[in-house]
Amino acid sequence: MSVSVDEEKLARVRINSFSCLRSDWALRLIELYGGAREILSKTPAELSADGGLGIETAERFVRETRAFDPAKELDLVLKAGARALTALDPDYPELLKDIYDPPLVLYVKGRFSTAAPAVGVVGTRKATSYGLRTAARLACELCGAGVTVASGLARGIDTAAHQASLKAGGITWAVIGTGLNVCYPRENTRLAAEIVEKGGAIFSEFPMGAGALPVSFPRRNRVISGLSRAVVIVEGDFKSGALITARAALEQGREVLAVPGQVDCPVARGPNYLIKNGAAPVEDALDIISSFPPEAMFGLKTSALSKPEGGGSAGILKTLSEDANAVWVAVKDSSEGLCADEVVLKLSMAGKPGASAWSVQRAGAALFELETAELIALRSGKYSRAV
Amino acid sequence: MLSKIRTLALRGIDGFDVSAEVDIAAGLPSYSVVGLPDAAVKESKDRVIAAVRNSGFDFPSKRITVNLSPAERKKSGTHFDLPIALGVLAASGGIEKAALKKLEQLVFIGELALDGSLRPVAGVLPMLVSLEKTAVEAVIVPQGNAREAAASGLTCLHAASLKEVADYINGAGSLKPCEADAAPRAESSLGDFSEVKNQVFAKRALEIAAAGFHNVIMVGPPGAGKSMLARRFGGLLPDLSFEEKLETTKIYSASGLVKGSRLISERPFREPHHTISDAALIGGGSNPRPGEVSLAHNGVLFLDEFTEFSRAAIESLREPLEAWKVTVSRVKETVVYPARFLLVAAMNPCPCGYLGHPTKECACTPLQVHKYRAKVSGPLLDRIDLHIQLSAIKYADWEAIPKGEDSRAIAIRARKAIDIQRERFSVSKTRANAFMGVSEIRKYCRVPEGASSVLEMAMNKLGFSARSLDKILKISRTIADLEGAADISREHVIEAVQYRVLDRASELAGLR
Repeated sequence: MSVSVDEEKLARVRINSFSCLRSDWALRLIELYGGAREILSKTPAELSADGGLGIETAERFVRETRAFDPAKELDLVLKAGARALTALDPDYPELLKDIYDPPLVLYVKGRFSTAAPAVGVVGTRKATSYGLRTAARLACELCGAGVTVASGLARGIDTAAHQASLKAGGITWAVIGTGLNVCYPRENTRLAAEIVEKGGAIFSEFPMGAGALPVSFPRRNRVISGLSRAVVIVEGDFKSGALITARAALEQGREVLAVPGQVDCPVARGPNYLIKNGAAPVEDALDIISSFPPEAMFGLKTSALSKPEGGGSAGILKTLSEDANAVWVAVKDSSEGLCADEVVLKLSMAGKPGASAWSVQRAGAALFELETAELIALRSGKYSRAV
Repeated sequence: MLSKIRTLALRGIDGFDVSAEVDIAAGLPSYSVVGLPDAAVKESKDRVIAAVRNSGFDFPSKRITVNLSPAERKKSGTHFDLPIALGVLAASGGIEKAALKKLEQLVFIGELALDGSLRPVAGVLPMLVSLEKTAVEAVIVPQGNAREAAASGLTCLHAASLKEVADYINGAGSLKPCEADAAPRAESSLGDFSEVKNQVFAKRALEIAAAGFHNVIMVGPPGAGKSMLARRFGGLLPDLSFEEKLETTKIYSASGLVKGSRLISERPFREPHHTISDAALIGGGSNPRPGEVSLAHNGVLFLDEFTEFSRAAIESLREPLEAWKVTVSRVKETVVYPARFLLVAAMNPCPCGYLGHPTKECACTPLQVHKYRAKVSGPLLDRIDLHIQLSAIKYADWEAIPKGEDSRAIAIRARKAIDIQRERFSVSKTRANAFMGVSEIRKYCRVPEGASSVLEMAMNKLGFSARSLDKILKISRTIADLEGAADISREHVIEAVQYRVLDRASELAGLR
């Protein structure tokens, strides 16, 4: 039996290597023929007749799966310190098995436990500072409550969610759209390593060495929602991957939540559209956790979420200088952020006649103070609030 | 018969003495030029023959050999026409025997037209400046080069034609001495700093750049005022000294860019287009000529759309930024041009330019922005101390903005800081704060007690690298010099941090 299980696994790895075949087709064929090995023994004509594949696709399928060496692939996986799971393995996440098209093979790097519920925090790569700080805050709160934060390791919102989770000492999962030994985007290589080091995991359904293809990312999105109890869309335009994740989550019966945004902001259109159509608006992690089914809430530290009013920045503000407070008020109130020159201009005009002028040095010192206190951040030349 | 006429040749921007030897011997009529002449020198044959005949002399139908000595050095240019023609006249009797003694004390430069008139040539000033002054009574130059020649300080005479020169030597006529142009210095044509509204951080950063000779990069959307600031930047630098004027004029003269007048007295501002080749930027060609970096010597080199320059062009800037000179090596010769300039680079925040613009939306993908920004990283960015972030201002704010300081007031402050530096580095090879090495940074940029925490915070919270901390210290030193302060204070360091925008991990990547 065990020999056969191993062979079945190898056969599935082999089929999974043919990336043109979506996993729902592969699963249907497995059901049809009674196993993955049986599929590999068929001719293109048979596959085309029984499975409904186009004859050209079937021919390529047979040719490419024959040429593929699954033992070498598993060797690569081992070398990368990862594992390849199929639905036959006991470790394969139960929640993911429930979806319509679970990955035939799930490559995993890092330890992971499905004991704690996971929440997908996703959004656009072209995030605003509002989106970034909200994603970071939600991820931080979720981690504080013991929830795992799942996201896609992309730039923007995803990166903010992962980074905040790590900073909060929580567990975070990254589902990527490339092979496990390929990092995309490259600048997140260190982030990916840190996720694994700090007890999180990287998931992928793509064979080792698979590069970043445009078709891969929508497919990876369904895995993010498939691993999660609920999905929070922070920011994204109509056409963004975040809305694909939301659609996948709905198909999979997961809870979809969205962070309300400004109505005239392009990247707020996605979440606002979702809210109009029945998604729950999110202000804090409590909103997310209360959408969980009761059994998933067991063991969560929800008490950590009831914070005193006023937020955490009030305490820091008291320790700041008078100048820094004035700059903080100016920066906080501007929705798009201010560049350093605008800060000087705004404060000079707001200042009472006779008050000492705002020089470059004075404004610079106040900005430095706020920035090192992590109250504001510089992005594309503009200072905006970071908390 | 044999004759010898003194003249000069140019190599790079330095001249050397040449003697044009002409030998006329019996034999089949022929004419040859030896002594490594280039095409322009060889062609002098036809001009000389026509000019001699058309000036009313006989051209001997004999075997004529012209040698330009020292024979092993390459000669180029058309200014050998006059000495060769005089050599022919001296060897064939066109110059009287009694005048030959006088001829030895004269030096000649000039191109001949076929009718015998003299045309101006390039490179007169650098050639004259390096003339060995042994037994020279006067230098004779074409009329068109008269004012340029006067700037050399030598006794120069100008002539309009070969006939005039021959008459002068034969004692049948006189030549007028060259006189320097006494016109007053024109006001800077590039505008004043007070015309730039707002951009207070950028203006302050440029003031620091002028004071400490720091190179600058400006990042900002179209219309933020990058070019406007750069053009006015030269006005912050102190006036050129006499040596600097001479150096600059020599380079322009060697490139044929001196338009017949006195020494160049305004700091050069060069703004090459981003499609420039590396040879045009640093100098080159089979007959080497100074490039833009040398034309910007003692002035400002402004590279707009910095990221659009070819990699080869950008890389070629490394030598001049480091050594203040460029070495152009060709198969036949190696030439060194001076290139001490302040680099002002400007770039958009993203390929479309509107990232972070108050009213226009940016159309770039994060990857595009990332790739665009990544182009400026690397060894060259390392030589740029100051990073300035500029932003476009909404029209509504326009009227309320007060007028800024004028260039003069800022230049006076910068001048004081430069004097302090001159004293500081009087015994070392370093010439300004921007050029301090590690040991000098440790020596002159001691951080006070309170400020080391500032550096630590900059590193931990803003993502600065250890390398950028040294830059911050150098900038702090210049800021302190501008105030006339002996020691760097905490405030100086905090201000310096503001001018290293591109070092922040988040800003270089363009995303987070």
